[in-house]
Amino acid sequence: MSASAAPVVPEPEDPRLVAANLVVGARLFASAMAFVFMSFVFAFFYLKAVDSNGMWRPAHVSPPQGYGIAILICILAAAAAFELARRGLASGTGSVSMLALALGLSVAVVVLQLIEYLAGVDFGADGGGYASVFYGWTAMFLAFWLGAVYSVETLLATSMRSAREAQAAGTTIETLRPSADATMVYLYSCAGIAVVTWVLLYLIK
Amino acid sequence: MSTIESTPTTTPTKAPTFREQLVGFHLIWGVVLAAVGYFVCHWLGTKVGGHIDSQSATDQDDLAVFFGFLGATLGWLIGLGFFNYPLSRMLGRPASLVEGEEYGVWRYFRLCTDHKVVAIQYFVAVLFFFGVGGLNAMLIRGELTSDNATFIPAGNYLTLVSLHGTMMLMMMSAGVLGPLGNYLVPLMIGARRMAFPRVESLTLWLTVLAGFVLISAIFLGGFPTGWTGYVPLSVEARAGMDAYLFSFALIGISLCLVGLNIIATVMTMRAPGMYWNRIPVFVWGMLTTSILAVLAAPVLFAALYMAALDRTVETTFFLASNGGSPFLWDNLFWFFGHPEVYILALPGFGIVLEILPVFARKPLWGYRVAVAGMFGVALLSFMVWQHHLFVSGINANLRPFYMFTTELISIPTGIIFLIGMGTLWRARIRFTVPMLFALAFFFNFLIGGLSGVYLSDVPSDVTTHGSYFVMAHFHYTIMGGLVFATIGGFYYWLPKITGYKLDETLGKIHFWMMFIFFNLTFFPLFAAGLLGMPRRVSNYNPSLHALNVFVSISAWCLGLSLLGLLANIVWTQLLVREPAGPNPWLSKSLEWQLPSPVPAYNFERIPVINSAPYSYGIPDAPPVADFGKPAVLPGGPAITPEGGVI
Amino acid sequence: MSAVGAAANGAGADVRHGRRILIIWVIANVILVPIVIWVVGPHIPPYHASRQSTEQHNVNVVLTALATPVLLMIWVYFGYSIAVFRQRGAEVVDGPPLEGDPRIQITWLVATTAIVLALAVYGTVGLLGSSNGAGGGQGPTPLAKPANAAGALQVQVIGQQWMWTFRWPGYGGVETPYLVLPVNREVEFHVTSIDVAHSFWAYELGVKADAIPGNDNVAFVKPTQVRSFQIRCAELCGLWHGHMNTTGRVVRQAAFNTWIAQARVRYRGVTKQLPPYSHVYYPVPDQRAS
Repeated sequence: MSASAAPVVPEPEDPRLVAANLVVGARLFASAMAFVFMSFVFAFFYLKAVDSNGMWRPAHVSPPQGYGIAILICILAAAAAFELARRGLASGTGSVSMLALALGLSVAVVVLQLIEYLAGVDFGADGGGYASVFYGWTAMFLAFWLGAVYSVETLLATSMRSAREAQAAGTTIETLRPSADATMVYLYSCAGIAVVTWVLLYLIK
Repeated sequence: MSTIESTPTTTPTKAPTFREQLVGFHLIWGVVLAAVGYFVCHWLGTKVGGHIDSQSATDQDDLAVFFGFLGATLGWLIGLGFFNYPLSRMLGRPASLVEGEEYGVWRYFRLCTDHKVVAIQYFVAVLFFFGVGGLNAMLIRGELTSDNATFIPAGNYLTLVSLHGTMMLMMMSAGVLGPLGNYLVPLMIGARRMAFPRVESLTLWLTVLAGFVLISAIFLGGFPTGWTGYVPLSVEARAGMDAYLFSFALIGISLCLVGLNIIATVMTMRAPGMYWNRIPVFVWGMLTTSILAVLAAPVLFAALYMAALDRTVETTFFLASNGGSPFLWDNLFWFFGHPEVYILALPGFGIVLEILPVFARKPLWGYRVAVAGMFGVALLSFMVWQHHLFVSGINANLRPFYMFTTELISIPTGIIFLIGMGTLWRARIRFTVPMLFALAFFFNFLIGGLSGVYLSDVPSDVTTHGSYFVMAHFHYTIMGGLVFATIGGFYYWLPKITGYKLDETLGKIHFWMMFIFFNLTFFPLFAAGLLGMPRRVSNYNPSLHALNVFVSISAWCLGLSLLGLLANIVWTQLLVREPAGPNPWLSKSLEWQLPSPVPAYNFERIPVINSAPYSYGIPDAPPVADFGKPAVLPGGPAITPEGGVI
Repeated sequence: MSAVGAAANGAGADVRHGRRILIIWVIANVILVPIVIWVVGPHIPPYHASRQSTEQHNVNVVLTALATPVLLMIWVYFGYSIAVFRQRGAEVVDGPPLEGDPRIQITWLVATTAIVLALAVYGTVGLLGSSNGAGGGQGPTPLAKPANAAGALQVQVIGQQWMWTFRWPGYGGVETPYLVLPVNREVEFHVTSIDVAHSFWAYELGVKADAIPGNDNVAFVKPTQVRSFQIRCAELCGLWHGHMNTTGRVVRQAAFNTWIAQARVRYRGVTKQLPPYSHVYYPVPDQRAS
């Protein structure tokens, strides 16, 4: 632990190990995320069953269906676009345009959700049990979705930079694919959760 | 080319100067930016809160406090340098696994991806916060020497009780995963690093921040709910409650990520020949703990988030008159809370089962059964949580089921005892300090576990729920179990971490004082509970006065004994510094075949593993690993012992 | 030493040590279990102020009597190991490479499973049998009710920060600050709260039921002794949680009738102002604006 000794330099990292780490890590994170939203599913069904003081969902409390559908479609489309991008990456054809589309759709989800909060919803957070679950759940989902936006943006930026450098150096791209696989796991999980969210909050209520 | 940088590609020729280090990202900037972040975002929060009745029409400023804490977290992480990598990735720069590992003492005060550095940082942090919690306990016992509120006003007493419990639970949850897990898991499986080194450092610095956020509750009026944060009291409490919610949420994130890191590491980064049945039992303990951490901590996070929303934007998750339910909190909290206590217990199992073979000089008796027992505990721990709610008014149909599952969990726990007993059968026991702590673990956890059987039986639980009987039960299992095992683990592994052994004589004095006074402190509390003393009160039946005075004196002596540990550390690690050599305990485990302290990057060559590390008593047993064989070609794939490629 | 000789030596040693441990354990049990049951047992709380507390007492004695052999087995084994299987001297010598014995492991698993199943059955029977829930709060729809539940004396226990109030639906809905119960009569508590979570703990009677706002927590008790009993709050409810104590009394039926009649007279002015009797109370206005 001396101040001036440089560390022994070992062999370079095996990319397959990094790839394995990323995919395992993504799956574990998706499990953790699933448990966060499982708490909201529990809250939904429990409070609905208890209907304490008759205030689960008073008559005037109803979600804006248009926004719900729009947000869900954007999420699913973003996942689909990303899947196409990932396949393009795996087969060696371009992925930048699909990644850009996925990023655009992801950002659209965020924008739509914020607009829904500010202008779309006509009940406040104190409008009963359902209202509480609605706001809490969608806000938490938004926070996790921002993580998806970050991942997609990172892949896009890395992809663009690598495309330029690969053209210059004539070498293959090695680590984009495992990152894309990991992000795909995350996006699929978000999409699955989004479907459950929509079914419970907008359909079943 | 987008490959991973895993090593510094150039080695600088001279060390950076103090001024150069000062300018970089480290703890000092973390503190400064955290303070700045708090005040800026607190101000922002008051502006936003102006639109919400509960914030603007009253003197409550919870939204501002939460904003402030968020700002503090952002500032803290920015100052320590955690945003550098994500931002560089967003610009498309290549991925890397190494950051901040160069040079000397500054590594310990910033983001460093060396798992050994993170472990030592954790060690210091956990010791410090354990000390804070312990100090709270000494004050609590001081107040309890009188049968009504005498020295400490009622509100402050409740804050002390709450701080003690929360600090201990928060810190000891990662009390083994952090220091020992991070240090030993890569070494024990033959890896150079953890799967996600930056995340590892993040978990540490979030833990440190969480500890200070919790302490800041003192300046926000304290909080009155105990570590369980029951609603509606926690929704109505003053701003100190926000500190509890926020710090516990940070710990939840940290715990989840620590677990994630450990699982990913063990799954993907085992050395060639390290098959699943050759992994040390300590690593299995870490693995099962990590499964619980990854799955249970998110539920806590969700519950704390809901409480924060109730306190700020007027949602009513927990307000019965407006569609909510206090039972929602109870269920979510305890769905986390029960796996949480097994997050505390399982590492203890792992440590003692790892220590026992070394000092009994026998293989672990029933390795597969031990692992099965740990998995049994982990699985069942998700199915018992309503035993905390037996008399709370839950649906009466549920109670027999949860009584059954709770009693069932004593079967895998009993397996741990069976394995310990089998390992001692016809052994050649050496009574070193780690061995003493491991044996004391079995003594204490037995009492703790048996008292749990009383609590699991609903009729018996009717009187003992919410009383000092429960207190004695969990102190016996957590302190008598986990803390004893962890201290034993420190005595055992500190020579590997620092290269200097702890003093055996001081250690034995510390052990006997701790063991005797621990039992004198907590055993009478079973009686206190059965005699009608509720938890978390400073006002109790005068007939219990003598008992409480006795317990308080024993508790202070227990606290003094822990100072003995501190003295031992200071004496041997800082003053005397006698080198321990690579393997003072003559252990066959992989980490003990390396020099002490372990050099950077751990192994010169990734070893090829020959057997599980328990081959004691076998005359011609091969060494646990072969370090000479070039198992990994530079830049190439790993090679199995049979010559195949992984 | 040949392998066969070593094995024979090992097996002989196994039997020798095993027999010794077993004998010590049996002797310890023979001495201690009767002491636990008949000397220590009667002193284990709770005592016999109600049918429920008697049930709890019996359960505690049974559990302690069962715990004693388990405790002794571990203590005797570890004590014997520490005394006999130790390495004397500074030399470090390895023990025999025993890695497990499936027969012992299976026997242990079967035995522990059997004990646990027996305990679970015992606990369930105790809970759902004649103790009618053993004094614990069973929620709004109790499972274990007394045979003549319809004739039980209904008492609503209202917890608030930081006192207990008792409401008597069968006596005009009068509220009293004190709890007086008639002896040898089934009592049906309905425990609720009007602010935060409390827990109604009538210690000597063996009753504990959490008071949760919006929840009607039912607990049954049949006091069998004329005596006073402590009432404490067992769930942290804020600043004066430790002071939320009072004393209840169990009296003869006639004394109870007198007391409740006097209470109705004394508090009739207040009773007129109270909201109608309900199992749960919500604040007024009970609809939130949004």
